[in-house]
Amino acid sequence: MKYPKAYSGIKKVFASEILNIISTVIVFLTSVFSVYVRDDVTFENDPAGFFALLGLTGGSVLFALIAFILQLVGFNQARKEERLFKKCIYFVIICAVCTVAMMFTGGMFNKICAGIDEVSTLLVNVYLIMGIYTLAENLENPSMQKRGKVVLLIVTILFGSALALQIVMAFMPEFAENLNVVNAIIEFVGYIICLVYVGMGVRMLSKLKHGR
Amino acid sequence: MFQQKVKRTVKVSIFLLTVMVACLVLQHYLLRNTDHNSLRVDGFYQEQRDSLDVVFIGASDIYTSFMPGRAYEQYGFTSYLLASESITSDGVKTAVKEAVRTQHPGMIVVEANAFLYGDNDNDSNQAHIHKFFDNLPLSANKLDFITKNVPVDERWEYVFPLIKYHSLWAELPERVNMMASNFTLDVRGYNYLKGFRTTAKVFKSDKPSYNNKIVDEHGQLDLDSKLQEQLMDLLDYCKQNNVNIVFVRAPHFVTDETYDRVKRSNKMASIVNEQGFSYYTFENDAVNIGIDEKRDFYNEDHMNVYGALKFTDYLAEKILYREELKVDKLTEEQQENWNQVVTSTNQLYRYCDDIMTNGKETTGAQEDFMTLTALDKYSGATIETK
Repeated sequence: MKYPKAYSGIKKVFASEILNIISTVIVFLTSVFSVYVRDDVTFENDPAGFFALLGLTGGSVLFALIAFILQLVGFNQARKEERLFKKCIYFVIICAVCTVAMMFTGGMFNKICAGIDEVSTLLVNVYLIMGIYTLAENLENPSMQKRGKVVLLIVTILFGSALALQIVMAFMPEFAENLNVVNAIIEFVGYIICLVYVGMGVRMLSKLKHGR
Repeated sequence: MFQQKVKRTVKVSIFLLTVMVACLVLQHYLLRNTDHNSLRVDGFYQEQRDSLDVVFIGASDIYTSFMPGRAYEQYGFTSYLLASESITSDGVKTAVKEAVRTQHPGMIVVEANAFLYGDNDNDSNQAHIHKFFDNLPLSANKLDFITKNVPVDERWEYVFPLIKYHSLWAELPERVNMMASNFTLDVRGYNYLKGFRTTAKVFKSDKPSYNNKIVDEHGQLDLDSKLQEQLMDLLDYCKQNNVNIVFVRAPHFVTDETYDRVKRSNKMASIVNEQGFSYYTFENDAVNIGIDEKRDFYNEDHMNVYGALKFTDYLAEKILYREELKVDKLTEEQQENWNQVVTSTNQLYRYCDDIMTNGKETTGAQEDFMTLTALDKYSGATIETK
């Protein structure tokens, strides 16, 4: 049994995860710079710093946008051979809607959107891992199944912790800046672990495609 | 088997989360007592952290008297009215702690009203307690108040106000204006009037005013013992935490019925001064401030915009020059937002002036959808004092 569409789709999702990580790293560096190194950068007092921050922010948005499109295309291809990937599409769209809503709102509405975004991110990863796990099961690959269980557990704990931090930040705004950094690190680790498993999934399907 | 378990867990989790989010949305937008108090308190928590120079705390005496937009325009400092209708002394203490927790302001100004009642009935008035505490987000300070003061069987109402207000859906049509105001405030992310509220009306009293007489009134009356205890608690907290707090008493239309409050205010001034803090008895100075008792009040306890404008200028000068307030620099984005606050404040003044000049009156000119919409046709240019 071969999964050419799943292979092609997951490969795109893999690429999108890399872009997401790059975007997260840029956001992390920008926040560290603007919070801990220089918090008074303006066009007037430091044009170079201002454009550097603007460029970093623009870059992170661009990478996130490309990652979003790649994810949608990838999951759309992969869903033709494993229906769990279809659920990923729904949650990717919910994430995008929440992210846009968060840019333009404040107060409780913003916090609710942040929470839904965090939960949806977790569910995208859960269904992605589950999809690859199911393919591994169909291909009778026990090592991938075993890893899938471990990865699912770790990713759930990490993104669940990120959600808990969002709740803490909502109640204790005085710790928001520091907790945002912790949150970014936790999500980063979550993405990396998920990425490693998706990469293994791509390799597993690539072997099939190339008849190895 | 494994997939089935995960799928079931995910489905149950999504269901529970959906219920939680639905309850949160209902509690925040539909089934809550949304009024000018909730808009004011919500707006405070939307202010950027550590962005306010001064936080004003108290009851209606302060949110009808001080215009943060005017103070920013004329004196350059940012401020917010973290105030609530007939706030209790516990409310004042909690508000001070919340202001310190979220803003670390250069100064906190407390209007004395909560400590000047002849008895402590206001402190156990459920409506007044709920009006402030329902709107506070859950925090250690709110929990501290709940555990110390609320009976066990009522505690959940303060944590989840939905329990108390779930039957409000029947009143939804009448509450649409406030609900829309609440939602638009959330979407905008900051409010235009920074808590200021007024009534467009010129007070015509059939009782004589004692405002001229109290200029030389130095007599004192004891505070209610429980309220004095609360005041001492607050002063201790401020000392221990190095909080720069100033107490003020806003001008009122003093009559024989409210004369005792002036004496209690004098007593409170002596207590506060003894503890090393400043207390300004502006009530006694109403005449010197230029408050015109025939024009500048909308009822005995509150000034209209004419009085508020004069008082804002007077109080802002005291804060800035006598109390030596340190003013923080704003970012460009913050300046833009505050310029909008200035415009809206000036528009509101002209809106009220227009109503009063035409011999009409309107209650509740405030941060709500209808009032803000009505402001559009008025100029936001600086108000020149006459």
